[in-house]
Amino acid sequence: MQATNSMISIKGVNKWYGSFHVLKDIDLEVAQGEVVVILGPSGSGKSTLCRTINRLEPINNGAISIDGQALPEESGPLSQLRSEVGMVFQQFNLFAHMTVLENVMFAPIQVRKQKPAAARARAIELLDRVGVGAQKDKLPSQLSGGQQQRVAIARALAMDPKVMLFDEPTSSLDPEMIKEVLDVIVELTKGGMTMVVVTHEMGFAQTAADRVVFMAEGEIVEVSTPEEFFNNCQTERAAEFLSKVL
Amino acid sequence: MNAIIENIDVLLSGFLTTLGLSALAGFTSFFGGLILAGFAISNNPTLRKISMLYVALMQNIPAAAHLFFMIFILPVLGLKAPFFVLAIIGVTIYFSAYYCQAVRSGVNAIGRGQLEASRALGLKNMQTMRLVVLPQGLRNSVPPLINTTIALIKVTAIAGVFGVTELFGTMLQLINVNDSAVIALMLVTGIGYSLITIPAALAAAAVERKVAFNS
Amino acid sequence: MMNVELYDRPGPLERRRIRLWTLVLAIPALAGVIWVVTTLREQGILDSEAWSILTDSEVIVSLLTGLLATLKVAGVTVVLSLVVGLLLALGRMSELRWLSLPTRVWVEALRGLPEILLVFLIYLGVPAVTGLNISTFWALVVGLVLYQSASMSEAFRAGFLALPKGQKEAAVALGVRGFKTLRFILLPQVIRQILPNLVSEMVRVTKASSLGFVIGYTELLLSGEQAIEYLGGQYAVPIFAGVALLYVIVCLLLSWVSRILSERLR
Ligand SMILES: Nc1ncnc2c1ncn2[C@@H]1O[C@H](COP(=O)(O)OP(=O)(O)O)[C@@H](O)[C@H]1O
Ligand SMILES: [Mg+2]
Repeated sequence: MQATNSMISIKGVNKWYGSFHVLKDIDLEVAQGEVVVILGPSGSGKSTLCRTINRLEPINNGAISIDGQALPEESGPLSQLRSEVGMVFQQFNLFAHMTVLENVMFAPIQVRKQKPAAARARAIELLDRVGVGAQKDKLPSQLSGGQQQRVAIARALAMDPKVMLFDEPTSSLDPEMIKEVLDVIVELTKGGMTMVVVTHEMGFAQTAADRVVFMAEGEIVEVSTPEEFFNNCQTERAAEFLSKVL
Repeated sequence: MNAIIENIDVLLSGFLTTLGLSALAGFTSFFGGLILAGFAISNNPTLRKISMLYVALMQNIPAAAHLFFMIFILPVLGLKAPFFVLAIIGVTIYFSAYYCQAVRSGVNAIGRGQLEASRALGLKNMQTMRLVVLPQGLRNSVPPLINTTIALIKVTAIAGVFGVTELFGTMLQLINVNDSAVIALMLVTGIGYSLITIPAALAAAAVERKVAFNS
Repeated sequence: MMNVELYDRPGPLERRRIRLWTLVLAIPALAGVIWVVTTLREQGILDSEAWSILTDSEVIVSLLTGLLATLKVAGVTVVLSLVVGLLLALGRMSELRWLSLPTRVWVEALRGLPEILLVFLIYLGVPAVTGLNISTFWALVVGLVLYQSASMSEAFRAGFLALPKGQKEAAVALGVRGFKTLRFILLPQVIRQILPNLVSEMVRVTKASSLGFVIGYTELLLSGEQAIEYLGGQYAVPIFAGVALLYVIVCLLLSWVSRILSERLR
């Protein structure tokens, strides 16, 4: 039986790239309002797992559902479901041909059919909240990486998602910009948003996560609270990983 | 020099015919290329294959062979039309493939992240196509489209040897009767083509610099 | 194929809808094909007797001889354009303004001209100015080289500009100077880099060599025309189809080689 408060449910998921087994029997439940941080060496399948949650990567078998609804196979209903799942990418992926403000207003108008005036007011509010309101009429290419990533977060929030997925949101940022983006994400965790965050920021995992998922070679090796994971991990692989990153 | 001055009106009319031929053939080729590109970026695998097959065949047959077919072989089959019209059709069959490739290369230059961001926000396939892929892809396509058009203008010169009295054909006729002015006539003809192609090439280069989104 | 996935992987319903559309579109397409075939048959173009001309050994030999001539022109043109193109690229990148400026004007001017004009410039212009006769082969080759070398010089220049600056500085520091730096350090890398580009130029030149047809050099297209002239109009379509197919095969092979090279060198 599925727990009533389970927001993301991943059951028995396997995925292959050709003959390469990227995801091996993945089971994971994320409760409503929970913040789950996925850690693991690079190439272990963290991004792939994150991207299967909104079916940017299709899976070979297993089942994924969001808020009790299984991921649809057809693109129409799939789009509907994706509109409720925000996603933030490592490379920001802001629309290059739109201004910052247009980026944020875009999906609410096109997908939610909001009135432009309403979408605009909300977009400005969100841009101010992430601290880039002053840049609203610039093109993405005129912004620093940290600013672009904050716009990307605002763009995702503008859809009032039930879930936010972050795939290494700070990995392509210069060190001095990492904090400004992490601050925005930490702020979100306090607001009760359900979040899955793939990251290499151990400090963030320690302070902001409700649970830590450790992956290696396509498997979930360990799931525990941050205190347990960082002070008293159960597996050798996790210990080895921690000895390298801490 | 005299040969030029005496025949300036004929040369001018040849130049205008080149412009007209290029404009008409350019228009129909561009239109054909858009249809082929539409096939190439559709979600129907059969249409994609048809587009690929057309391009692979037509692009690899030389322009002279296309015009040879239109002007020498079609009449044998009993299809008769003015050379000018046949030249437009021949150029169109050839250049549709190139315009298609120009648009495709523009679409291919879009980062996959742009598409993923659009999908992740909940846009449907057709919305992603219309609002993200086409605005960026067509913009990327402008420089190759201009360059293709330059190539088309130069290829229309081949129609001159197949009986169309555009600029190059006019030159050949004038050379026939003024064989002392060969070099002067060729120089003037060359200038005629350069007047169109060089500004266009400069424009393509300028647009290319402007269009480049940095990702 | 497209490099970017423009669509989500379709679900079963969507796949069925796509197949349905294919069927709907196939109906008018099929009607068109039937119309074309019946028209062609009425004209007697689909006569197997006419098409069997393509198995005639004399026709095969003459078309293949034409193809050989085409490849000869293309090969010689590419090799010469490579040398001239390199010189033009070096000239244009030179720090001597009296050298770089005229080279630049030359390259830009030639790239704006129709190849057929350049071929005629040699074919008619050389005898007119010097009184010497020039063979159709060399008129064609030199005319094409005028254009191709200008175009290749741009490829060379892009190749040189893409080299890391340190390469040249390292060479200078090692005491390798001028010509030797170029010959042993820079050039091999540039050639390696633009090799796929050069093979695809070969496709361009193979097609451009069909201009031999208009000045009377018997390459593939002209040998096809001569065969039609000799055999008669009822063989026009089969022979043209044979000629076109040979061009397509050669060009596709060259494009394929170019693609393989660019993948290998990446
Ligand atoms: N499209 C793909 N095709 C083939 N292999 C892939 C593809 N995407 C990722 N991989 C491989 O899958 C593995 C997991 O990748 P990824 O999920 O990006 O790892 P992580 O995010 O943990 O670094 C890697 O070994 C990667 O090389
Ligand atoms: Mg990753």
